[in-house]
Amino acid sequence: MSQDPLLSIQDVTVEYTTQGKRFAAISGVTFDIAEGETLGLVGESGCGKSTTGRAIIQLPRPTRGTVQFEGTELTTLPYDQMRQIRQRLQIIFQDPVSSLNPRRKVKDIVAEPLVIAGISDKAEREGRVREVLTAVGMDPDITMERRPHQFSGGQCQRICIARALIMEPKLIVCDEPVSALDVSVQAQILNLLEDMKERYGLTLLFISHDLAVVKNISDRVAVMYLGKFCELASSLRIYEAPAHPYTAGLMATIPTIEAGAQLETAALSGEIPSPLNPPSGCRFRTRCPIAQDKCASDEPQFREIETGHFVACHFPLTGGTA
Amino acid sequence: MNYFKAKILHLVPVFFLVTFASFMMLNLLPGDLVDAILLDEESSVPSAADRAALEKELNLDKPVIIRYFIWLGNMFQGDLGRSYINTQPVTEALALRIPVSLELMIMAQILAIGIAVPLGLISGYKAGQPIDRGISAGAFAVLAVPLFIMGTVLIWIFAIWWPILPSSGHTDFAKDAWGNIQGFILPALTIGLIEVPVLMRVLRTDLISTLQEDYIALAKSKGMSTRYILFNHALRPSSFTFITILGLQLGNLITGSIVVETLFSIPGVGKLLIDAVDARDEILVQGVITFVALVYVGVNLLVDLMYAVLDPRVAARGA
Amino acid sequence: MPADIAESQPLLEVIDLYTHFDTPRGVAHAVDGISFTLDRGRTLGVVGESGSGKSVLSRTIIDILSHDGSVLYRGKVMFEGRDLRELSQKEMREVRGREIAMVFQDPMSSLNPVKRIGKQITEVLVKRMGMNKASANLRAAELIDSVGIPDPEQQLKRYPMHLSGGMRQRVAIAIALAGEPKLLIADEPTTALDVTIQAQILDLLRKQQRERNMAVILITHNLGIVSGYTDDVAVMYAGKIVERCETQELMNRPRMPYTEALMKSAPLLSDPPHTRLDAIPGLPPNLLNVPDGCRFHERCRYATDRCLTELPDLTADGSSEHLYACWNPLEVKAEALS
Repeated sequence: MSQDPLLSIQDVTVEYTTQGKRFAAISGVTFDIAEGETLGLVGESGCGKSTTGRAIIQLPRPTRGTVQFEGTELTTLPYDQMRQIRQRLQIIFQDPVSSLNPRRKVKDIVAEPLVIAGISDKAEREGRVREVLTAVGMDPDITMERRPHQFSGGQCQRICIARALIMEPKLIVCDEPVSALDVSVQAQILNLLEDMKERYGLTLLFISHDLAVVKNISDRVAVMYLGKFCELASSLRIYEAPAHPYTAGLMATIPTIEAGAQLETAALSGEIPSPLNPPSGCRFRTRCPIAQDKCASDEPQFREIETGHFVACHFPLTGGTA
Repeated sequence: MNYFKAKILHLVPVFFLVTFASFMMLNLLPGDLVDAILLDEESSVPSAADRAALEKELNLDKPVIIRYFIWLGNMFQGDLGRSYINTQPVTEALALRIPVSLELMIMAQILAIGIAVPLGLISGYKAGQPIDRGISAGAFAVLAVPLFIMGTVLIWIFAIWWPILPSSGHTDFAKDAWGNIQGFILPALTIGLIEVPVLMRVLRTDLISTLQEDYIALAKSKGMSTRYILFNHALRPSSFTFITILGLQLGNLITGSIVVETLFSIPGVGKLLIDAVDARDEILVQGVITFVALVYVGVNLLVDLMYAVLDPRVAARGA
Repeated sequence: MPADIAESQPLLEVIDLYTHFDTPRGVAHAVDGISFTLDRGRTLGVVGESGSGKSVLSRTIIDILSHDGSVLYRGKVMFEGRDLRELSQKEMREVRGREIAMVFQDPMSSLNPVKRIGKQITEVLVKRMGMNKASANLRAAELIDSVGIPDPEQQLKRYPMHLSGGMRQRVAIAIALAGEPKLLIADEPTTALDVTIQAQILDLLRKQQRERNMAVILITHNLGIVSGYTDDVAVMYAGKIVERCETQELMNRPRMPYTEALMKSAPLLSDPPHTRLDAIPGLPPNLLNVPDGCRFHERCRYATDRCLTELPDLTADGSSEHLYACWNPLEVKAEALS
């Protein structure tokens, strides 16, 4: 990528304190997102994928590391300037119903970013709300005066997307946006996100636990495990030649219509360790089918094994050896 | 355990606050204690010298803050002072009355729980059905009855119309245990019944939401009987608000026992308090309040401990 | 009855079953005339979206829904020749846990948080199997061990909060197995779990099912799970079964347009990135107000006038065992798929 990335994350660590113990929800996360790209972030619960998404919008601010968006460093940006940036940096969440205020009308919910941005002309606001609701496939005439509880989960997610789009942002962080939805509705929302991306020239960070969904929507995919990046490659490459044993295990694990009855035994055994107390060396070694002594003592570096294909493993399955 | 330590630390300031506030408020009561004592003892008008001597003796010449700390220091050595009126040590007066009041309160609580739990369970299990509506209507009716009317009605029913219980008086437990318990039934029932409606309602509400839980469906799918599910699976997780209210209602219980002890002529702490206030015996009143504060703090500690017993997650989570 | 008849008879036969909820806003047709049979040792997948009635169906079979008049039932649930709907409450309790057991979706909420794991298993053994406490404890430890949890004796004394989601679901399975049921109903048993754990739990279910020759009803919204783990499948839509056949047959030759749409709307791992998904337009119907005719017609690309007014029966072509409820079943396309 010759031009500067839209978003650049360097060595970001986010620490939390629970039960009097300090632990890193994510540590040393580094990646770029180019303008117009969709980066998929995939992993199981506790892997830090949502924390990564929130670190970008500075909720909360990372403990260490830098987050550059359109060349502006966000981690040190004063609060009022951060608010300006947030117009160009939106987030949508997993549960669309609870992220909409049940007491407000849809038109007020969608118009809220405009009000915050100081657009006082009511007619202008209403015009833009209509436009964006139409874009997400909702009829403004019957939608605007209603409240969120009168809509289904999928429709609420459309409203959330409309709210995120109204300021014409550059980047949208999508945190499990289709996980709470039924398959048939999920497909509608995924298609909508693709359409909106084209129409508004968006860049997306798409977070999900569902590998098939991530592959479908992403140009590049990053796999996370216990707060760290395992692998990052183009969507096509990572699925055809996964280099990290965890990525390979994840893929072998998903029951698919195609796999059918061939699926015999679970590819990955064992439990996900607690992020409070991660294993030494490679964090995946406790479940890794090919782990060796070195994996317990040395932490593998996140390195490029072929152009654009990064992996943190001493013994990657493809593209070179340790 | 951290949880318990934190809870105790929480309650210590409560105790100091209550005793301090009551000390200050008693000080604000109108009337002059020295006059009251001296006028009572002698028929002649007391001389200024007598007044000064008595004031000094009772430390009344010192500022109220100092007096509080003197009292506090003595309290920690087990000395709550002597009654201004009859010089009986306050601890002694309390020691005579506390067992009586404790018995009354404990019996009242047992009756309240014994009535409220089954009613709450039935009501919650049969929510919306006639039996639930009937119980709820009854509960609201009881809620509207003032304590002394409840007592009077119970006396009329069980002591006059169908005379199976004594209407007043107190028998020493050591002399006649059954007579003692009989004497407590009506007063305890009076206080207990007043508590039932609120207790029953909160249990009902919590039970209704507990019965929606998956683990109740799982218990049903295991073939457990309804009664077993209610008592062994649903009751414990549904009793948090119940226990909280039980602790909070202690205030009502103490007020209630004052009225009830008077109504049924029971020589308890409540009656002692009424008499002490009448006689403007500040130090005795302060002693009673200290006792009440201790009970209050103790019961609330018990309530917090109960949370941990009821739900292992509470103890694990810590304070 | 003679043993050979008992063997030839299906374990479970659901006949024209209705479960309607009487709500203040109207009657919800959650299960609306469902029939199917299940043989011993077979796994039936019941697949559908939320609101299709699949969970209500499972709860009706094991009879844990309310009997206070707010739920209206009709039809038969024949289990080993007895109609469960005719049994008294007491007789039905004998069936639950012993003959039919259930595993729920979310192990975080399906285990009682204030009871020790051991107690939650042994109460089945003591109350249902008539064991004494000591042998129940031994048996509970064996069960814990058999579902792949380390340190069985230690686990009995612990509370659910001490275990991960996957481990809790293993405990829930141990509880279900305690009564040695002939039928296990698993209602979305892995939906709340991570993918790697999901595979472990499904493998465990399959292993137990094979060892015990149990019949399993696996309720899921995921066609991938159906494809990998079931023998037969029933597709539910708006309270009705719209297609039923052997699983491989369904995967190869779906006849009902809804089934096809469901398959196409889920992204495939084999598709290249940015493949346009064949989303089903619209929303599943409100169960309080189901449309006339075929309930899928509003979202169906093949719908004709007949579909708007006439409800298709669940039927098969000739002697085929592949049942579908559609006036315009897929034919040519289906051949191309296989």
